[in-house]
Amino acid sequence: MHLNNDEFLSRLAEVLQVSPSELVDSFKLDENNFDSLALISTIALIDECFNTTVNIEKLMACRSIKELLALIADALKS
Amino acid sequence: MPPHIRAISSHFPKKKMSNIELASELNSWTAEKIFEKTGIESRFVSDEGETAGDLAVQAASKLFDHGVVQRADIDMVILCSQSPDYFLPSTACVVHKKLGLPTTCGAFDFNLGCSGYVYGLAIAKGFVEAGVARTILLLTADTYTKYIHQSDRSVRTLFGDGAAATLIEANDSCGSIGSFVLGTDGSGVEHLIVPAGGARLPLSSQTACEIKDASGNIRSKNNLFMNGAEVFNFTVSEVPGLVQRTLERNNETIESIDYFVFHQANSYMLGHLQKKCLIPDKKFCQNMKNFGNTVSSTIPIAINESVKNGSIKGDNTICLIGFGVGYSWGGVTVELGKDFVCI
Repeated sequence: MHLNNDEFLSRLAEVLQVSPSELVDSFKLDENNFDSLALISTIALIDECFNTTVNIEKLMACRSIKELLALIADALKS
Repeated sequence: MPPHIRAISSHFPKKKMSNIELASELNSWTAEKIFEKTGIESRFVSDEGETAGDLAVQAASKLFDHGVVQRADIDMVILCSQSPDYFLPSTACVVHKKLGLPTTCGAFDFNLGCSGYVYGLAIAKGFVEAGVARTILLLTADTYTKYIHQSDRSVRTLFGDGAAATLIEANDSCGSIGSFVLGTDGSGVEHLIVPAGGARLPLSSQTACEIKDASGNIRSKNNLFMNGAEVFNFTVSEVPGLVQRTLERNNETIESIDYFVFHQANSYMLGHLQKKCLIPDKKFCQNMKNFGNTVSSTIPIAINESVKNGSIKGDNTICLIGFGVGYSWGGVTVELGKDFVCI
């Protein structure tokens, strides 16, 4: 999970056009380019890094990296 | 005698819209960004008064004009469209008259989108094997651009108009159509839809009311709406399993299939699916650059282009995968045969 988290966050940083070091738990997605195209790229990244999908409404409601990683963790449990 | 695909022809409207023109109208994305995100450089747009039926007639006429088949031999017309000429009668009946086909020929429409070509092959195969028909014209035609709001870049950049005509004949000498995997998940209805205009929500001044979404796209309920994230999630969840089941049902593997032709939705989605399905580049078709997403016609158009550029050869076994609006999906393997003609 941690290995996948690192890879996921590194590639998510590319999608959001920020430095990977900025993607801490409190990073605000809704203030940083998390638009419709970024959303689709994130779905692809979640699939590639974790081999799972998440509920789109819940994904769109994620406001921080912490919430996003929690959503992925929930999907992996179910 | 078993059926096979004897020939495919296609037709597009005259009007072509490049990314440069689109970018100047949309005033947000650049032409380069549209290409980068979609893999589409230009798409065709039907004129006012130019219908799916008109495009289908033009595509089918090429089969007759090239002497591939005689009009008198056609005993069934099956037309797949989600932008029919009329509520009633069937566009297939309109096309039947315009093509001058015999009255001994059956004709009907069915309403599916991006899975439509695979479903059409399944219907045609069933008709031939049941002895209902021997020489079938499967027409796929759509003019989605008529549904699209001019200020909705989420769909305007992707979809284009076009038609394809596929001739399916009973023949025991070469070529074959394999076993089908078909499926549906009606929970996807709301995610790719033209909400108004049917019996559920008739056209009215309220349905014509335009709303701007969070991304700045404008549309009304009379227009095409696509929830891109939901549709992408669906394809990621469903398509790899569909590919696997289609291969298993036909006793094939990724290695034994010569070429894969998926519904040409957009390059980003196809690139992701190709990677997830572990299909090598040389076996995977990406053919939306000059046409965009032409809905049920993308697969036959892509087959023709792949034959023309040498990616598919006469005796190749190809795997066709359709998926989209509904949600609806279908897969099959096909051997074109050495007598296949692409126009």
